[in-house]
Amino acid sequence: MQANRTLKGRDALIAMTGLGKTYETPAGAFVALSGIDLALARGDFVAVVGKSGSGKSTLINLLTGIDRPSAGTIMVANEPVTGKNESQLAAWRGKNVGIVFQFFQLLPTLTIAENVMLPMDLCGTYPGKRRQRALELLGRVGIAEQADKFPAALSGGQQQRAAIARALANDPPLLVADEPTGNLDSRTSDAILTLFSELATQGTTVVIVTHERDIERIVDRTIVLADGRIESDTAGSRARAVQDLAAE
Amino acid sequence: MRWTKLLRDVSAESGRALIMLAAIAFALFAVTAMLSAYGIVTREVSVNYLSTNPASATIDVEAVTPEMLQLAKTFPGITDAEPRSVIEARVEVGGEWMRMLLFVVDDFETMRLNLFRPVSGAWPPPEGTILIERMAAALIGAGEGGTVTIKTPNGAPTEVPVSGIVHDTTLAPAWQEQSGYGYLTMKTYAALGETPAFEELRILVGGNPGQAQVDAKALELADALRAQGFDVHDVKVPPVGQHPHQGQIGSALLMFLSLAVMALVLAAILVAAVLAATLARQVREIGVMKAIGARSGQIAVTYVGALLALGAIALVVSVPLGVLAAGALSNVMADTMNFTVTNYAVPLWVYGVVIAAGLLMPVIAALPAIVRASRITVREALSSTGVTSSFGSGLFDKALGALRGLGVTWLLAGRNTFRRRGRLLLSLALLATGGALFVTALSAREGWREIAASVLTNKHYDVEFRFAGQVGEDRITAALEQSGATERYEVWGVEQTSSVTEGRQDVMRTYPDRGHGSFAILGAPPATDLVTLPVIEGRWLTADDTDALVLTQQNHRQTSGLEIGGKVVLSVAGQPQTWTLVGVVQEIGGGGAYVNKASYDRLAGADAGRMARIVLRSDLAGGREAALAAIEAAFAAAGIGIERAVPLDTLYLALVGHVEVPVSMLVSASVLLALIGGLGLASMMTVNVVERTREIGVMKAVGALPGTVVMMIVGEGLFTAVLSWIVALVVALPLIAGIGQFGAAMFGTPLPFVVSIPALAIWFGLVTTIALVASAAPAFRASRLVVREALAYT
Repeated sequence: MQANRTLKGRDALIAMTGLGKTYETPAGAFVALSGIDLALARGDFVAVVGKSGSGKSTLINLLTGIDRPSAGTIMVANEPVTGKNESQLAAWRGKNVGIVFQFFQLLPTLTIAENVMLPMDLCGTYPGKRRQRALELLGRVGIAEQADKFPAALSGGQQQRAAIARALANDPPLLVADEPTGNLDSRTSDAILTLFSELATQGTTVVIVTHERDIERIVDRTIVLADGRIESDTAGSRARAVQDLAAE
Repeated sequence: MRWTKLLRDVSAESGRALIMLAAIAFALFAVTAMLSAYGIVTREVSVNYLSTNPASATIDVEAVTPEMLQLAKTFPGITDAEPRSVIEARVEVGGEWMRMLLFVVDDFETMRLNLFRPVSGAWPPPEGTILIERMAAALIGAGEGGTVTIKTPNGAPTEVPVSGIVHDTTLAPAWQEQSGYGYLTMKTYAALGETPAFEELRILVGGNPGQAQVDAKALELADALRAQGFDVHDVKVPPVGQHPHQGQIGSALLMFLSLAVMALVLAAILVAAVLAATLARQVREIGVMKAIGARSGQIAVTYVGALLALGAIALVVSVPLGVLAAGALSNVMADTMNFTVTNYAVPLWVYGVVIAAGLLMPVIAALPAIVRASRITVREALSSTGVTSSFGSGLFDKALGALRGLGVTWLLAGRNTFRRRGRLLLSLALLATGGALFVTALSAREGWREIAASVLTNKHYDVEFRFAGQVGEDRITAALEQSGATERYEVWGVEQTSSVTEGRQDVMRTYPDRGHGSFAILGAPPATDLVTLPVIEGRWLTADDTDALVLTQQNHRQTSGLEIGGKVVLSVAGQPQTWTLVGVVQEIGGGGAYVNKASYDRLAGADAGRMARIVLRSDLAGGREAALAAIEAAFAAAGIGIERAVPLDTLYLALVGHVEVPVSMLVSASVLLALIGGLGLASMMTVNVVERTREIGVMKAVGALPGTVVMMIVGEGLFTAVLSWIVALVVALPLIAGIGQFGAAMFGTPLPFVVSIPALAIWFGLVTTIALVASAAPAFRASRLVVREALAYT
């Protein structure tokens, strides 16, 4: 096991330093995260695992600017995430982070294509080409023919693919997925994870929180959290395969 | 334990509980206030009217004699009779002469019919003084201790001290009739220059007679009087036991009550919506409770109990406040319509209805959601993910999906509008009904103004003078020539009349205050160029006509659509005369039965009533006022008594003003509806935002700025408002047509179909403003949602 793996000369997309989060609860202060130092490179496919309450969701929330740290800093693409107000965070998130939720969270009154167009509309990107781009992205995740249906008409796996297409709408350097396969059957889960792996290969940094037992075989790094701290940070099979290939 | 859980749930969801409580309490307050006011006012109007011991009928005679009175008092079925006179005089107000009814009473101390009561000052009025009705006092600006200048038809202007104020609840409010009301003794009346004679015999029919019995008895007495050789003119019978404005007051209150009931229905549905949202969140807890032994019935009873408790709390808050408001509302109505509230007690049935409504309405509305939630299986409940949406499955949703071209934010706003269609329909119903009423009322007013303007286009004189008593035409002509203030004029005949059926004079359905129901026969110069009325059917009069009659469309309707060439028997001064209908003309405001002036003179002879229609000279120094003053002076010098002087523009304004009360009522009702609709919209937007918390979190997570969220929510409110405006317009069109036909029933001519563009514009502004205000708070709250918490919302 190797904690806090270095990037070995590769570009750091994300740098967390001394990151901590403490919640004030009626039962007293609750430390959700403490002393997290973590650097992720472009194109990394990283799994964050851990037991319930270990701090996985908190880490993801801090990384995406959904929550604010009590201590430490987060830099994404050399830009500090901390210190921004809500509006600035929303605008930053729209352009820099794609988020995939466990329950897909597609907006039910928008069609699949419109859901994908939503981040572009919100951030003012791809003017005049939004539908075309949405259809391209939907094609990339394999559900182009579902573009004009409402989410309720799609299966869970199709909805999650649509959610991934939405997350990619503004071509963000970072894609974060919280339990993206938690509600899917194993075959669909495999397909989704493969899709993430391909995205990472194309240069998107992918961070997923998961309970998948054999996630290690598909990711570059597996970060295990326990009691709000990094317990281990190990290379996954994908990284080793890449390293072996490089060695050869 | 279940109840403990429920209490803590309510405490944890205090925001939602407060929304439900506020909605139901507000609606119950409105219902209590309106229903109580209805109970109080209808009772008090009736009590007020009956306490005056209203005469069953009035028989107009030449002069009431002791013998006539004796005959009436001893007539079988008649329990009382009294002489009275009601004279049309004029009072000076700010240099102008205003109409004033003078009620001449035989004995103030012993009068028994059509009582009025002293408010302050002398009782009875000392000789040479007058009592003024309390509402008229304000209108003519005369109070106790002051004086009024009165001109009776045959008298000179006389200053009369006001010795007291009285309240006569049987009269229409003075402001509405634009008329003063004065009460005086016969001696005082004679001192004003009039012949001391009572012209009305008022009678009371014994027992508890219906309308037909009173009509029959009054006509019997009239026949008996005639048989004794007495001169009987008209028989007037008002609707039995009914205040002149009872229907108007009742309709207004019922309309406001129906609005309150709509508010209650809205509140109940809102409660159901909030409860359904809460149940969706609690579905897993319900599953747990069932897993450990709770039965469906126990769970349902818990929620029904909570709603009953909610209704009970709302009742405790609302009913006392509603009763207080009802008292205030009753006073406002009493002040407006000239009656006095003597007892503020709310009828017991009102409490029963309000309590039943407060307890049951929310339960009934929420029952389907409760039954559904309580019947859920443990497996379904435990695997629930909270609030879900099936949007997109219906045809309508698919049609909405075809909408393109808007930004995604506006698409969201538009489609979200149709997501909870039950709630949307309710908001739409309230806002659109308000809008339809508003547009209809103002459109009808425009239509009515067009009709009223026909007074100015069809009549080409400036002022009409009606004379009292018997005035020869030559005297009128001489006085007008003498005045030097006329450009041209015509002298017409005018006399009260009533139709005769089967040889017997018909009853006039009118109150003894010279109110509506009167009907005149007019002797018209056939070649008149001062009046050119559009002929609807047949023809106008010619110089050769002898028994030809032309009716206005309104009077023609009363003859059950008699065909041209048909016969009509009219009674003038008690003398029946048969006429042949030759034409029907359209006329609003005045008019009656037109006959050739030569025929009129032959019928009425020297006793004929006259009026002069005059075009004033416009080149006199001092203008119209000077011309009118010169004519008045000339008539006074010639000893000609003026009963009434009506400038044409005053007639136009009076006609226009005639619809202001119903229009104002409709406009107030529509604004009230819009406010209730706005409250409903605000509540529903709040519930919608709560339900869509997670979606808003997702939007913010993928980059939505707070302003975007605000735009989306406010956009939803605006879509609802615009939609309601469109529905209002669609509903208003048949309503306007319907009101036009109602106009046909009322005035014999339909109102022109006019859609008021200003009304549409004003309502658009109002309803969008209401929507903006209603959605502002939920939008602001939505924009402030913390993404992390919003995403965690189930």
